[in-house]
Amino acid sequence: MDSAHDHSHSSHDDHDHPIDLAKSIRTYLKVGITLIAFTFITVFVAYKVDLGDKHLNIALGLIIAAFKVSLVGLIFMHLKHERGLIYKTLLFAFIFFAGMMFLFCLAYMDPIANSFLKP
Amino acid sequence: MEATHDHKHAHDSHGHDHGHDDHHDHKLPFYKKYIFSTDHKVIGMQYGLSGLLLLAFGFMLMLVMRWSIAHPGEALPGGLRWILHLFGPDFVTRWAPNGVVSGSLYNMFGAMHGTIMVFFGVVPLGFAAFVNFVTPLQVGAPDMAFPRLNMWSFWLFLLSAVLMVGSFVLPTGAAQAGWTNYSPLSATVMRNTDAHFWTGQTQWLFAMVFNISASLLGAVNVLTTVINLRAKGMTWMRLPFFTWAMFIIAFLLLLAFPPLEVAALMQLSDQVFGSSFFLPTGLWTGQTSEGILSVSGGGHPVLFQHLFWFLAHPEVYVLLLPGIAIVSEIIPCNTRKPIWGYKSMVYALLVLAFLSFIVWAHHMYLTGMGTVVATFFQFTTVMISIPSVILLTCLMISLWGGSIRFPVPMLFATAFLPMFGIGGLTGLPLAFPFIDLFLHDTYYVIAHFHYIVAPGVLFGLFAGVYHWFPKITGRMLSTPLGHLHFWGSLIGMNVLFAPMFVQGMAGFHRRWFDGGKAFENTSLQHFSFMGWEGTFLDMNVIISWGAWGLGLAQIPFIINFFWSIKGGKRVTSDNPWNATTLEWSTPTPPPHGNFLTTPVVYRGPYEYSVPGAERDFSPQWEPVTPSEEEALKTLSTH
Amino acid sequence: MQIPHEVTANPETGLYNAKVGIWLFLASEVMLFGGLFSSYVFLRLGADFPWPFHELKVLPGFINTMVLIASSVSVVTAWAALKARRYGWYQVNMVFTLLCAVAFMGIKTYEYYHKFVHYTVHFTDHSVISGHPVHESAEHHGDRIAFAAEAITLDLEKSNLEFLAGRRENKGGKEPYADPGDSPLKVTLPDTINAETKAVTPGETIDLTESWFKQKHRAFMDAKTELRKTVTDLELQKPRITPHDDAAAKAEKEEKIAAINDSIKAANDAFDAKGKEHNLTPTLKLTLAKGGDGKVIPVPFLAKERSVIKYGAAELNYRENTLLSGKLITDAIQFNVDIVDLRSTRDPEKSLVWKHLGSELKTRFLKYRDDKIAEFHEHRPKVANPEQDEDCRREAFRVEFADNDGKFMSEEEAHKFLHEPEHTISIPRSEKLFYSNFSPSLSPYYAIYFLMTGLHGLHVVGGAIVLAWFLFTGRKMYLRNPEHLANRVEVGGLFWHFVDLVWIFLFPLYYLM
Repeated sequence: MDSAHDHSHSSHDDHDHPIDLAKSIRTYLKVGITLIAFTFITVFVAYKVDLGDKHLNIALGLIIAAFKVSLVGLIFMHLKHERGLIYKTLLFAFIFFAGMMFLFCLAYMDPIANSFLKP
Repeated sequence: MEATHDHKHAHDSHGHDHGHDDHHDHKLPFYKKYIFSTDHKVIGMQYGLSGLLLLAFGFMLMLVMRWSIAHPGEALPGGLRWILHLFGPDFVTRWAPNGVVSGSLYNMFGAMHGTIMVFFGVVPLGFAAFVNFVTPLQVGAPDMAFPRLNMWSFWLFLLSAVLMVGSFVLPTGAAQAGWTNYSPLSATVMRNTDAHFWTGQTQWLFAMVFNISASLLGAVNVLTTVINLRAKGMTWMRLPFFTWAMFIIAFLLLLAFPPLEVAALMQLSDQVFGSSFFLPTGLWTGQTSEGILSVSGGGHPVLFQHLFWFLAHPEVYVLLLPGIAIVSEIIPCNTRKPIWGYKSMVYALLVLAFLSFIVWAHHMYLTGMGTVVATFFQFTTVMISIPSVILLTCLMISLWGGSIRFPVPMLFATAFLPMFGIGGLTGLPLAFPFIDLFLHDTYYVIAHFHYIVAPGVLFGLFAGVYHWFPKITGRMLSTPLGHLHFWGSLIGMNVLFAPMFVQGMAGFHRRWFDGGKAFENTSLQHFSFMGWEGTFLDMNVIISWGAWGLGLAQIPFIINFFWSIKGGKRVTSDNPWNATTLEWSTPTPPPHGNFLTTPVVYRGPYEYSVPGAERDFSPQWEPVTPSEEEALKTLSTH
Repeated sequence: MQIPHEVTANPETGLYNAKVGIWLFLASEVMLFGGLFSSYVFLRLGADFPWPFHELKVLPGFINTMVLIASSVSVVTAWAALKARRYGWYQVNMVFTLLCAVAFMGIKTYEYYHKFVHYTVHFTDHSVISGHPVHESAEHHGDRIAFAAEAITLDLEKSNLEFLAGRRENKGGKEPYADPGDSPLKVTLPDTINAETKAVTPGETIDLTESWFKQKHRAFMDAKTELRKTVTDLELQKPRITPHDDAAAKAEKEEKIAAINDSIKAANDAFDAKGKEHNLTPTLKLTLAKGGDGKVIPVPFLAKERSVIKYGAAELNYRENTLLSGKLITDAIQFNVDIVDLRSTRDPEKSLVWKHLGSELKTRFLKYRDDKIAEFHEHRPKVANPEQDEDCRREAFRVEFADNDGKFMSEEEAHKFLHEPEHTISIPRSEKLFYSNFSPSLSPYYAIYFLMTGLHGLHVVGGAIVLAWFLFTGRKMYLRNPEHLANRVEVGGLFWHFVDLVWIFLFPLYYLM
């Protein structure tokens, strides 16, 4: 949250001065190539790497996806330079999403419900 | 010639960027000014009128149900049969053969009463109408942040309402699986009909998808307006509590509605594409000739309930917060003193909103969920009563020591407090699974949430209508008719809902279309109350009398409402109640663009009877006077 | 009237209105897809069927990921170009973005199409095969119930005549469903009575869709409604006998009720009489047209199982209550196989599948299975009982004919199995538990796959329309206020990135795990 605040001034400057197009494009291309590279890695991890348990592969795949998503969010969607307000809004959305996911799963972790749902 | 000229003019002004100056305003053609309007006040009124109409419609459905409960097997009297004739000449013969309400009709009306009251009545009136009219005025904005989006939101809502009400005329009739539309009942109830998938159930889902989309657009608009368009000096802690509550409601709608949209889409897929999101393996139904359904199975009915209640519990707060919001404007105004504990109310609101997302499964204790999950939800549910009680207590304490005046809005606002209190406190036992197992789906639950929504929230909304009517039309609503409306409603509501607690504890189930007559000869049904002996079945008749009485009590309101638009007493000032918030600083009625000069805010929202001030109210738009500063200094040194 | 902060940021929040709006909207989108992801997890955890794993073809999904990433780069570059006031660059990048959107949807369509024409049969012993019903794309429908109709009984209240005429669905087809002509269905009217002469006239032969039926239908409905109304009104006139009535009052009321009952009966009789006179019976049995020899020429109907409520050797009852009388030709499903999945059946050796596919393939399958189990055991010696292991079963008990590195059969052979008539098997409907194409109805996995990717696809289309709008109409706004257009593109871009972001999760979730 703090870092977002620090950057807010630079984002403000963006509005006043035209940005350096060539530099931005270089950054975006770099990010794009990283994303594509990690897509290859995801497929590779899913099909060619055996971590001994399928669930580990799934976890690794999701971690890579989360990394890719954070790149898109931070660079392409400029979250790196955004204001706290947006962070707060998204934070609540993520908390409620996580709560929903967790509580849905809890229904299965519960010993009684589990025996009921999975005979 | 004249018309062409006008048209050209309108076209020209459209060519400008955002360009309607105020003097262009009256040149707008009628359809743009009143029908496809982008003015937040007109849209607010559109929402308000459609909300009131749909509330009346939902109420009429209930009257038919109450007849069936109180007089099972008897033909509807003429007045009530008239309601059925609304849906076409053949409706009575199809669904109420010989004028007697059939089980299917009862189910249909039950499902639609709930749906229409919750999603098409209370929310459009309580949230959409009031937020649209009042909030931009209260924050000092010329309009909503996205006026055209606002118009879209209303028309999407209207489309959804037309679809929903229109589903009665389908060959299958309207949805019959309860307002919660649980699977697998909703998937099987109309399965064996000749309509392949276009049934009442399907149309319910379509209507809901549109309704949800409209709510999302509205919520984004409200939030952006409050975040970005507040007037200079309108800090967060100077926001009127009404706007705070509306802001929070918009957040609830924004984040809670999407999972219901997911559930609706999944159920739509189950109906239309034959998928099995909510249909378990080997599902058997006696309603079709199929026996075991020819679907893949492998889905979970409970998933629908999770997704539904993930919305529907926050939705409960969407229903009741407008009531609290309106009442907390009216109480300080009529006690002539600041609201007690404004800040604690705001924080209570935030906590309430947060918690409302993680209590949903207390509606699902009966699904066979395990102890761990049930304990979690029991814990959060009991916790959420704390902020609710803080809100109500603050409002009660606000009455203390005030010189209270009782215009009609204040009557409704004061009655709101105990009524809402009864509704809230009777909900507490339901938070505990072991009690809920007994009371679930009985009339106790019906009484509990109707006490919150009917004499609670609806009283708040009526109060709001009486309170802001002079700002909207420039005329007051009639006080004698208002008294008739108020006392009639108060008595009607209590006769209607109080006996339901007793019936519920006696085990009366909410889905009995004969009101329990089938169990007439079972034991445990006699009671005596203050020397009066009877059966719990007899209560059905008393309750229904309450319902007819409540219906009659609305007639003075309807007369008052329409008559006063042209014939009410004219207000002599822009601020007839001597209130402090910004909406009272505008001309009456407010023009397009609202404020004559850009408003600046100098103080908090409820500065009544400020020491040192000349009058007993110090509006937000007036700077602090030296004498007030003086008085403040003296006070702080004490 | 000017709304504040439409273009310039509010100094307090640092944001212009549309940016606040889009982020709020995206928060709600997070909850929308959050609800879907949560449902995915819920369904997967609770699945009582083998959850498909590595079943979707990776390549199209992989290419689509690339396409979306490329479009993300271009849309953000388009915004940067506007910020730098380089309109040409903006246009180039926007066009590229739109092309990516078209490519994405094209690939998606290809994927969907190939699933919709791919079918699965679940046998009653829970063996599963996939493949194609014969000639699924041509006039033949190997999965329909074929019925030779000699007479049609219409339910005038419910039958839909145009619908029925279109039910034959085998214009110019071949055996065993041959239909002699593609002309409209001809039927013989029942004998009618002339109202004046009371003489019986023999029925004439006319088209089924002719207006005669529509008029009859309308007339019947009107008469029926009239009758219902009359009866209801009469019923409502009946007095209510209460316990307070004395004997005289009770007798009087009973008399009145009896009189009303008579009137009701009279109304019903009148309706029936009128019906007889004008052929307004609720059901109407029509014989199909006769040939030169005076015999009825049977017309084959091909019925989808879903549109039929029940059928037998001599009758077939459509959902809308039309009854066909005649002879059942066949209800077997003609099917070519490309996947055999015996994970859910109790004993793969005794599976119903082998009855149709033959013992040679069975031997091959069992050997393949044992090889795979051994391979798995070697690979993961720690798993004590590989035959019960979910991963092992997926490898060993499910064969895709064309896709097992030639270990099960060669590609040519697999092709033959899927396309050659001699490999077509005929599955009696009594052996079938469930039948579906690869559509949402196949299983909750495919249901949520189609729902999520479909909803994502709708987002792509919606986003592309908005971006196209900015591209084609943005010039005027650019000249007036370039910052305004840049803001719009930024907001549109944020939505576009969100769509990309969702796909980044969807791709591994459905294609890889």
